[in-house]
Amino acid sequence: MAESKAYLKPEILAQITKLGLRAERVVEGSISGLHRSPLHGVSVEFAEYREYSPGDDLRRLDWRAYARSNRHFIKRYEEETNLRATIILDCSASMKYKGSAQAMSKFDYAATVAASLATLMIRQRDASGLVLADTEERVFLRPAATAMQQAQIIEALESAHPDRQTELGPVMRRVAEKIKQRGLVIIISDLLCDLDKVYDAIGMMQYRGHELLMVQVLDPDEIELPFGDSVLFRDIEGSEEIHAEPWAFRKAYKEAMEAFIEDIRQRCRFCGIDHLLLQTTDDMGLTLSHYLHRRQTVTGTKRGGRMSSYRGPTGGDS
Amino acid sequence: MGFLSPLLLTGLVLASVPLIIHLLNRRRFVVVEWAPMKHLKLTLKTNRRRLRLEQWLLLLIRTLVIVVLILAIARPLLPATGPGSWLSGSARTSRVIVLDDSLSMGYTSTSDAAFVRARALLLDTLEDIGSQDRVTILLTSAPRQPIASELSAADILNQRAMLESLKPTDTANQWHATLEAVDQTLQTASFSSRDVLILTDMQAAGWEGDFAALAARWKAAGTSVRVLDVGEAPTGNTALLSLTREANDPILPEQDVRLTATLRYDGPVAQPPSPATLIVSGQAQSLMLPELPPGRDVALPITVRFNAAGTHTVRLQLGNDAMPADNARAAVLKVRDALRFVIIDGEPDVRPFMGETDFLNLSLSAGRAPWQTQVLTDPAELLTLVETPDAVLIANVTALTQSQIDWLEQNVRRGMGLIVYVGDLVDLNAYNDLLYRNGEGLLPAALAGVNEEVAQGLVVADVEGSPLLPMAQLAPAALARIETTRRMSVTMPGEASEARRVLANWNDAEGTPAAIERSFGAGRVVLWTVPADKAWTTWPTDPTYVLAMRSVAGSLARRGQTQPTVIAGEAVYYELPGDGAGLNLLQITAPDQTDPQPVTASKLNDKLVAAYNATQRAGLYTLSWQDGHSRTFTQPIAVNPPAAESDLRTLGEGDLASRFGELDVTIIRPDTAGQDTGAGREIWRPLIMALLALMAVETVMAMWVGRER
Repeated sequence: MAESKAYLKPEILAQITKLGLRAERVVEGSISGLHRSPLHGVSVEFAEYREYSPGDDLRRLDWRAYARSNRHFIKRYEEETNLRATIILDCSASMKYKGSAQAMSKFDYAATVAASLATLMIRQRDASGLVLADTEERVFLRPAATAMQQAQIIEALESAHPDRQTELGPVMRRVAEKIKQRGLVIIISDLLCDLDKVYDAIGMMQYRGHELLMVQVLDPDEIELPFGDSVLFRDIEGSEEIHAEPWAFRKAYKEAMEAFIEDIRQRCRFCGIDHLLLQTTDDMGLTLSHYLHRRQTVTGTKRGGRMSSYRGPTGGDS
Repeated sequence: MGFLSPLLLTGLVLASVPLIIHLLNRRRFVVVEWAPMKHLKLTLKTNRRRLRLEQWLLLLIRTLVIVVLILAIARPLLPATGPGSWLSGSARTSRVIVLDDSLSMGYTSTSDAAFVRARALLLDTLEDIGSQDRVTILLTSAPRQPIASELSAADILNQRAMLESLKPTDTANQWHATLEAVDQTLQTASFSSRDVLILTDMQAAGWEGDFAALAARWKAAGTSVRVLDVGEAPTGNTALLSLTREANDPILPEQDVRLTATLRYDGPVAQPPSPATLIVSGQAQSLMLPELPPGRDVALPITVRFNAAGTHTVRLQLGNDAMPADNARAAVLKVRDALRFVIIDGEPDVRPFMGETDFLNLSLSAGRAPWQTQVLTDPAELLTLVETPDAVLIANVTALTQSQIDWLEQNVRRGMGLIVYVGDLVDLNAYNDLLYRNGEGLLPAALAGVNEEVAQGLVVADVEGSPLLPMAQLAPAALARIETTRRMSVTMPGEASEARRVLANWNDAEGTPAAIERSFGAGRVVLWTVPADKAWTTWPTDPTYVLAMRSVAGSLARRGQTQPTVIAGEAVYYELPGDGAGLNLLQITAPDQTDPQPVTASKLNDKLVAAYNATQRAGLYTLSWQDGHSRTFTQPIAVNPPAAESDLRTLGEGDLASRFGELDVTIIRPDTAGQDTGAGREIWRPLIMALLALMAVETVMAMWVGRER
């Protein structure tokens, strides 16, 4: 299997491989996998062992195997089906921002996350697809669980050029129309775009029964505004320029950004969507492993409100 | 509003520095390709107005800091009238303006004399003074007599012609006395707010004395003092510092009189020889001055001769220069028609050269000099003399009565000379008791007795100013011929001194004094220890006798022939003859006036003295009067400029400030002509306060604007 030196990082994979990415909702699949299928009558025959990882249901521990090998294995049955995950990665120009103190641009970071998740899913025999989106879907790889699919995803990521404007909402609508089976949709973006259209598209995906994971990638500069003295801010996706002295309004800006992120977080929470905020300085492996672990351990019913019915942090929830 | 240093206002261009720095900073920026433009714009939209306001405010304050700093160092003056007076916060003020009208204020180096500038500034100042203030104007030549006292400026300006006619005098400044007069004026001032303005050329001369007490009083009273320097750097000045006659022996007709003129040139290089005019009794003659090296006094000897008795004047006039007032000096000399000696012969004899005073009389009356001798045989005749002689010579008189001694003491004390010769007839006890009186009387030494040891020769003592000094120039052999068989021994009271000294000694074992001199009041007494005839000595027959007798008699003749020197500004005191009976038309004519001014006479120490103190102008004054017989008398009086005023060195600001101690004196030096020159009130202090306040506000504002937001 061809692995990218740029985006597929073994150390990150090592951190998240044991956890796996489990769908929290029932998904439709034609291949047996980790996820509960809505299609009853499928065989409940034993399929394979998988090494135990924290969070797994202890009832599925094979004590006999433990007695033989002194190792913990989880029994997998034929009733589990596979996950069809589609990763929509924002490759607009805003994603190429890279802070002066950072090692990676937002796109590089997001692409690494995408490559890691895709690899993780393919390794757990889940189908994984990729959509590179700016004003339209530049790459559309339908979900598949083959090694070839993984290679294609990696290649698509490496050949991407984040240099166009963002139309993430319309792209997501079109992707939603193309995905026939319910599955997991992972949106990786800085969300610095027309969010109303994004929320419309999310509503549509929810309507079609997709589970959504919102991964927001931002550079710390975009949150902290750490510049001193005079700065000419040039719109990375346009031609607008603003001359300003950041020290004069840094606090107000940070508050505005925090409100922006909080609004997304509230909306996602209202809709039962996981919102994962990643900064390009974050330890990606650690952050992902924490998230995946939490995803496996946290049980309970998530809210399933529609994005269209959200009325704000107070009115919307009521 | 005017400025004392308007050139510094060009520094106002620096006020654009904050704006330039601001614009330059805007050019120095970092370009950032930015994604969350929407949020950036949103934040800026909310804060832009506040940010812009804060930045402009900060820029304005920084600009103001520079503007106020430049204004402060340019020293603005607010006129006393108009809104400026409100800004400066002045209350009704009693103002004293001191106008320096001393001689040095007449110095003209470029255009106008310093006094002309000061006078113009005085008028300008008066025009700027508010109507609520009261003004007193003093002249340094007469500080106790203000030319305006506690008047409004408008009232003073009504007498503009009087102010414009003011001229510098030839007097010297005495700032201590002047400022004491100012202080006295301030003590009776109408308002508690007091201001003193001094218009002067800052000449250093005249600032002697201690001003600390005065300054402390003024500081306690809140009196503000400003000194307006109207002087210019001197470029050169020739001064006639003195014209004096060092000798004080009587002047006789047809006799050379030696005067000394002291000249000084203060300039960068030597002054080449230049012509001058010497006016002797109205007769002018030219003379050429020597080259004058810079900064050094040069003594110029002048010899004059008068052909008639009377009061004569000598005036030396140099050529014109930047300060003409110190170029002329005069001296008044009284020329006697003759010297009168009265000889009292104690042992008269009708035979030639057998009398006691024949040799003496011959010695004094010999030659062409107008010496007149009168021989008396009775000392009582002294009391009947109509005119006091120049000297009295007493030869071998047995004794004198108390009244005769009183007459002698009175006249010797007034300047008459007395020469005493001993002899066989002298009553030692009477001399010692009445004339010596234990050293209190006229006689220089007590008579101890006759020494009959033969002595060969006379030794003249080397004593400064001795009347026998001409004898010292003779060959020693000439004096060695003198043989003395008898002489009077004397007892000197204590050590010799300036007042009592031995002029010559006989060449015997004891060195017996031959001539002893003592001062007595204004006159002097000489005691010869031998008679005037040849009874005890062969000297009267020796030619050196004539020289010795004439030298001593001439030297002891009445002094006071040189008139006292009067400096401009000082009072003239002239002793009038007689007792004042019938004195009439006593008046004086100043050199620049044609109409005489009346003069009052008063008794001073039993003398009738005419006093006149308006001598601000140097030159020859003429005092005139009539006696009871309607005879008119005139007496010229020389009033000369003060030499100190010729020293044009000036005080520095520090020198002046140090004299006033804690009192803060503002010294204003107008840079150029026509500039606002101190009229009104300086406001640099409020500006400095405003500057400090602005800097504090700027610091706080910069911290506040630059805080994290």
